[in-house]
Amino acid sequence: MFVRFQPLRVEVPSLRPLFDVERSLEDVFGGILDTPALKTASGGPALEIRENEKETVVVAEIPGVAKEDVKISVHTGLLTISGTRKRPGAAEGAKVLRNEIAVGTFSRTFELPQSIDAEKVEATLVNGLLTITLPHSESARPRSIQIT
Amino acid sequence: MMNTTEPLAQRTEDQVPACVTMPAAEILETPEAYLLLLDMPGAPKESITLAVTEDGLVVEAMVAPRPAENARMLLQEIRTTAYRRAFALGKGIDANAIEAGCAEGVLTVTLRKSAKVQPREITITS
Repeated sequence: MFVRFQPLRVEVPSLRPLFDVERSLEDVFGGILDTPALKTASGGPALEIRENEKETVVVAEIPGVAKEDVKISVHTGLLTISGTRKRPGAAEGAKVLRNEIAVGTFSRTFELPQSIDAEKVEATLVNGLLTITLPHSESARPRSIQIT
Repeated sequence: MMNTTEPLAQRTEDQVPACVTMPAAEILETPEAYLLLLDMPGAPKESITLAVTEDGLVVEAMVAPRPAENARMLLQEIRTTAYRRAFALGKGIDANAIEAGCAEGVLTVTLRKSAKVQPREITITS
């Protein structure tokens, strides 16, 4: 499974000078080194995948993406999340002073860990978090077999 | 930062330590106002606070916890539990007329320019 590198930005007072340095470098190099925009453009949305006995739940960070601009497909054990982030309407004709937010298409595909019931897959999009619930198919659920 | 040494896959959600992230921002300028867009996925509108302090405009938000009972984490790239970022306010901004709206995990803050910095035409009267 592909794991995207995502540096943590933790607010620790003693580390603040480091972030100041990073910010100064960013100002000089135009944020080429490590902008959230580039991370999103190359690696697709950040994910969280967890499972229990009944289902696998996939959460993807897709802020600023409308429900109708997201496509989810399940095919031969692969889940693909793709879509388009449009430029905000407010940006029309406005001067951009700073831009760390990437727009455009994104896509991420990964192998599902369990065989799932594709018919019962559900998805919600709340506050920029896409949550996909994939119930495991009956045959994949653990069951105990009695000796007769 | 990490309190436990267990592999992430064996940890449940409540053991993942708090992580404050600086949200990605876009700043736009129109003749009347500055627009500040902040990506804060997972933060409900009610959890977002905006304050004008001596540090400038401080934006904070909490990510709604995701229920994960009896769940095994297979991949954890979303560690953010809170967002925080501060912006210095220039003199040309009317700090009393700041408005904000939130949709699809993006906070939009409208910072109106104070009347004195807006371009205006002066007619020659004599």
